[in-house]
Amino acid sequence: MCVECGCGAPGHGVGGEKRRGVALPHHHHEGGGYEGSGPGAPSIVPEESEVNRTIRIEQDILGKNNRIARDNRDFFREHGLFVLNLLSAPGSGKTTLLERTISALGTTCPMAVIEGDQETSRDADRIRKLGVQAVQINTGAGCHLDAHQVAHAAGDLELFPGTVLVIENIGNLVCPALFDLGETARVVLFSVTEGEDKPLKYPRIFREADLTLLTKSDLLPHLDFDRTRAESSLRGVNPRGEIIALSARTGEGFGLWLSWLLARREKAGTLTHARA
Amino acid sequence: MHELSLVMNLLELCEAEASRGSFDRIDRIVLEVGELSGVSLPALRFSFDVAARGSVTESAVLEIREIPGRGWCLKCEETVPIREPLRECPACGSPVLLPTGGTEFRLCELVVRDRRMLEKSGKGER
Repeated sequence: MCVECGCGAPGHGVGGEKRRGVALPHHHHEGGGYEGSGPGAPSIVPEESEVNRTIRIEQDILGKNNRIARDNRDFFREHGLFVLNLLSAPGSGKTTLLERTISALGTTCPMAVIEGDQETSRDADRIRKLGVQAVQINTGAGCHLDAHQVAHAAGDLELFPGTVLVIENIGNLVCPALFDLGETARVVLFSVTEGEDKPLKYPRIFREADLTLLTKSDLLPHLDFDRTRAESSLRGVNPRGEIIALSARTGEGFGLWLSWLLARREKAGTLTHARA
Repeated sequence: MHELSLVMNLLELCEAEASRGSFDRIDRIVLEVGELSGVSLPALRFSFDVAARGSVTESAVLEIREIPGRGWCLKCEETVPIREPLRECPACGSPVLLPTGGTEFRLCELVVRDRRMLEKSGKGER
């Protein structure tokens, strides 16, 4: 049960974190989940028959998530945060990438992490060991994070202008693609131990990636993985996204990733905001 | 199985409607689901059967109107049918297609039954 709103949504405050810092705008429950409603609920046109009547609804079923995601996005922008939604199959190296990124950036760039997993706080523990704030969301049976969970998790963190907030989504290439969290950018990891045609098999998640990281590139000499084929699969579903190959183990390609991250953070206006 | 969360969102919309309306139960729920929406219909039906129990939607039938995928081909300058987003145009093979239809996932209508109307018609079970 969510303490803030009593909404019963899963995954809040798991890991015993206390709510501190900024509060997100109270985003839900108004108008029973209707888009732009308040008292002006959607127009209901009853069509009476003998015992039944038809009520026209015409509502986007993901409307509630999308509305909360928009509120999150406004909040993140107003508070000068650069927010990444990190997506991949399980075991592609999301947490290792984060650990290495945190170590590489050191104190030059404040970071905070929201970890999503079905069970355990292992990933949040790994991040906290590096001295970075982390909130763990456990989704239980859930296969993705939604905007509501992220709104509450963000409220549990102390966030300052210029912070890079990384949301490590549930390891899953299908469901998380559908749920906007309000992030500034989407980054999808695609490890070289997966098949080159993975973007063709799971196009939806790759299609919307601002950046795809080809991870574990140090293993390339030992595999039959055809990098050109993998990149052309990616281009097929996402012609505009960027691609960087890297290895968190050897550090190969890591400079490119860090430059991308810092450039996008600046582009998001967070530094300007921090100085203001 | 994100379909279960989608069904929970759907049930929330139905409950909200029930709390503002004067009906006792929902007989039919009409949805529009696009071919490019990323929603699996068997998983959606399965999740609905499980999640709809014990609520105003318990005896409701799920009617799904499937919306075919359509995209705009920049080269042909016309709307063409597509099965997957960002795939090549079936006419000219150009890979640049913007999906223009088939991404819907909407609750369109509820067919509901009122106690008052049942009594009036003399056909009520209660």
